[in-house]
Amino acid sequence: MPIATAEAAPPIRYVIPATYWGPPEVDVATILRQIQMWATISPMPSGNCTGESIRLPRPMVAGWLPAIELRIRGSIVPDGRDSENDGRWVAHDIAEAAVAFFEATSDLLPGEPFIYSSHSGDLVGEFEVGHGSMTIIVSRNFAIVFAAVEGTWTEETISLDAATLDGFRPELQRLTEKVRTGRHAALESTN
Amino acid sequence: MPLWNPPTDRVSPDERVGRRLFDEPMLVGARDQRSYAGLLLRHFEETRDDKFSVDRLGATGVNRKVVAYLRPRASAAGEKHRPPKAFNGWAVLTVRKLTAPPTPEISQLPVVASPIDGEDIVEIDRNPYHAHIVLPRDIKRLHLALCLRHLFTTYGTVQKREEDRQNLHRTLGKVWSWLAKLARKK
Repeated sequence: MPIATAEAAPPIRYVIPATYWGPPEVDVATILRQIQMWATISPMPSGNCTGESIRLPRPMVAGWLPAIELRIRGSIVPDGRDSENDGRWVAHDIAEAAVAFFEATSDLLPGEPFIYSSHSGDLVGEFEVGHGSMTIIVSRNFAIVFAAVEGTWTEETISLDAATLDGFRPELQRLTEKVRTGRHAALESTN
Repeated sequence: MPLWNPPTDRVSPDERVGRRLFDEPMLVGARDQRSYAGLLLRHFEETRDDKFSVDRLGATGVNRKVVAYLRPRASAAGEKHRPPKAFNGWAVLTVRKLTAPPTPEISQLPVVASPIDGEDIVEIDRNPYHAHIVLPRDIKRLHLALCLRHLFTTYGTVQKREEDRQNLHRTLGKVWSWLAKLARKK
């Protein structure tokens, strides 16, 4: 699979509306400033990535990810209604943490999660899998991944920073394989 | 079967305890998602104190008379929530699975009888079958909720409302008579 690079696929493009008309300018900086002011910015296929991060291979995302993101963002508690929250909403920062978590790991999870809020306000994702179950609890700064297979269980608490999430991917893959098949995933050979 | 009179000085390892299952609110943005058949973590989060409330449902099995006694009380307790929550039954577990959990990662969870009684308590709030699991204070609440749900899900059963069972029996009866009619026609 070709890897998108900043050179080959710029993260954004400027589209100048046909109705735009401006007086002739000789100063290039002013022209650019005018273009940026009038142009609409639309994302390119390479996504909303910075030039640096676009060089890194990004994980594939699951087909259910956009629906989950919509559900989470559609459940952010409206301003001033925090005190009324009985589990129907999630706080903005927890919603963003959950979206970031699912974006980083959706390709490794067993399927589309059933989501709800815990009493303490965290976002809970439940996965129904053939040989066991997996539960993910996303809090402000950490996530708990709980996997139970035929009486045995594994619980991992991980920090939500990008480097930790990236490092956790092999372990998450192992847990998912375990709940899917009831067996540990084969270890990948390393050179 | 007479109404069981549970001892208040101890809870036997053979007893069955039940955690009440109430309707829980769904996220407003997630009403289109498919339903989930398992027990939610919310059912096992104790929000009030470090005592996890349960009902003693029988000495060696679920006692139907105890269930009939407790059902209106549980429904009334659900009505006190704001907004009110429907009572859907109990997640049931043998006490032994709590006091000596089969999963080595889970520490012992003692069960203590704590009947709700007294002159100032109205009849609908009285509960001689009330007990609680003492939650260790040094362990995080989320972890405890996961432990409890794991035990109830893996080693327990769900005692649905009697009405649901009656409806199921009625439906099965209808299906049976329809099948019998079909067989007679052939």
